[in-house]
Amino acid sequence: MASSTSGSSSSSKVVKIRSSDNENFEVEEAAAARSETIKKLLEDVGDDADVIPLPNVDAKTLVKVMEWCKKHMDDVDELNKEEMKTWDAEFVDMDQSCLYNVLLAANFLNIKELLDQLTQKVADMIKGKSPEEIRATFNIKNDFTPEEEAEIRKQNAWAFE
Amino acid sequence: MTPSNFVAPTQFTMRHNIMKKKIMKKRIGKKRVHQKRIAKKRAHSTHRTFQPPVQQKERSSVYNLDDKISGLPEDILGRIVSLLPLKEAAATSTLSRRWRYVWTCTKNLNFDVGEETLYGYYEIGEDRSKLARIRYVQWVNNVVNQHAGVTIDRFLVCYDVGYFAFSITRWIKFAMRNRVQILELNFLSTARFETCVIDRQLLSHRDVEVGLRSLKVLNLVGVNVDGEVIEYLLSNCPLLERLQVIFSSRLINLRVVGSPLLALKHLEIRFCSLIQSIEIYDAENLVSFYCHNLEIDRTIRLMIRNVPKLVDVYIHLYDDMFYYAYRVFTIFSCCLSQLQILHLDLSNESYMENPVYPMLKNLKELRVTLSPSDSLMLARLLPFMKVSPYLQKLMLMITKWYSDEEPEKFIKPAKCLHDNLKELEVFGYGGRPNEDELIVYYVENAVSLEKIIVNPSLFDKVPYTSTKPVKAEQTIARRHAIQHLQKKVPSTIDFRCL
Repeated sequence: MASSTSGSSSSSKVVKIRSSDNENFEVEEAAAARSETIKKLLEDVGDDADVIPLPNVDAKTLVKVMEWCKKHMDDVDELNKEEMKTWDAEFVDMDQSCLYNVLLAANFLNIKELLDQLTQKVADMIKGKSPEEIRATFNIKNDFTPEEEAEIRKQNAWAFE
Repeated sequence: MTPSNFVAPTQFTMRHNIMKKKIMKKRIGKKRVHQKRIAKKRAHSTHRTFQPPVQQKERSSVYNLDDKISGLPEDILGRIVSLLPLKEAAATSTLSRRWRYVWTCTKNLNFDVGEETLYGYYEIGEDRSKLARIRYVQWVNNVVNQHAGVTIDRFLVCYDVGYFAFSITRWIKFAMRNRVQILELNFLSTARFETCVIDRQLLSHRDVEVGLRSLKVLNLVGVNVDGEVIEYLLSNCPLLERLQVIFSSRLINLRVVGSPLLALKHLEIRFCSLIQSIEIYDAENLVSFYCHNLEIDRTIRLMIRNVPKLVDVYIHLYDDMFYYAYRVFTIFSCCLSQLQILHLDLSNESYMENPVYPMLKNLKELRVTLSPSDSLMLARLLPFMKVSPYLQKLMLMITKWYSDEEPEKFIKPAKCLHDNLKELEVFGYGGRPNEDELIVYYVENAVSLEKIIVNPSLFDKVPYTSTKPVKAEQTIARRHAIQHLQKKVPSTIDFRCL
């Protein structure tokens, strides 16, 4: 029950953040501070902070990111690790456009653990696929001429064995 | 719209308008691809150069609306390719122009080829193995040449490369110049060829020098380093936490002496056949120390003082078969009460009746190497268990069975309760009666036992051994464990056979 008590004690302090599309959110400071970017800003402005504007993150994405931050606000003990893993796996299982928005937001907000989870998710989507399958998965257009592509394959033939 | 362009509505939940829009976009996109492919095919069948470049650009921008991944910033793409195995990372170079050089930013250069590594010349013949080696070295060189030169997290080569000293030196310089954090050079047992040497001259090279401050893990197998070089590394790499030296024939005297820059947490020295002495003083961060030496007729001088965090130790000495355990306890006399994990090799020790050992009041895990033909397995084990009242895990490592003789009959000692033991793991399990009786003994005597893991894999993989015959033996052992041993274990204990 340690997690719930520490959760409620930190819930006393709330910070306001504003998305790029001008929606305001109130978030527990402990959750928002998972973002190094917000943490630094809070340290800089101290208690005078009114609303922290986040010009690179829209409301929809911010809701997602803060959902993650809230879940990861407290330290996880051994018992809850498995449960957290399942939660994380479900969290990163989102549609591609959402995935990239959250990825960019995690990068901007500097949340290393979330960034690691999301890049891992994308890497898992690439793993084990042929170039043709990867292109299909991500709608990547092959803009090489067949000659160019053959040349690249030749240069790194070991990668296609 | 042709059927191939049709997106079945059941594949998508159409709750949101956004989704609907997206689908529409996809449909249009797909149609465009189709047209484009045809156009491309036609263009190639005639003259590719006739395709107007303006039109090409326009098309690609329309098509790429759905290609979000390619729009990600360089460093995120770099992170993504770093999570892929090297081959797959390099294969992304053919995806599109955007991806052409992304993989060369990979931070993870792992040149491990798995099982193939072990196929030395006795397996595939000298000529073929020579070719295989040249190919391996060319592969590493090819990647090193193309790499974008961003910082790298890990550089690992693992191959019996033989003679390519010049290339190997280049790899070390490359890795260090790019501030590698984990450097693993595994040349199996090629130290005998003196192929790879790390000496003071190499360490003072400006490319290598810049990397010393980033190095966290250094694993050297078959790389010749002497004591002076190791001392230099330890006092010049402020982040170096893990050092492994295996098969270095130049290592004779090793001194690990505390200095403000000594960050070392884990030290492992194995199969350094000429080693004479190891001294460890004031190593305030050292957590684990493993020393395993093959020489039989040499006494190694070991001195360990002031190691406040040392909790995990393993010393394997062949030089003293009578007093091995006593020697181990003498070597660690300054820290016995703090030890949490102790590994002893009792496979060669002469049997002594009723030995008395000092108390190990913090010991949580005991690992013991035993010979499968030993009838006194348990009698050897119990004196150690008696002095470890809080032991939670016992790991038995059974050596490989070399003889065709029947093992001596297992001798069951008097009953003895092991109150805190929760987990028993048998590594190298071969399905022999001795092993089964040992496991049954613990089932009967360890009242808190929760878990038994039976693992038929070999724990001491020797380089240059084919794994095929061993694999067959392992299958038999596994079947035996499931068919015969599991019956003897009550269902309250979690029984696993790996």
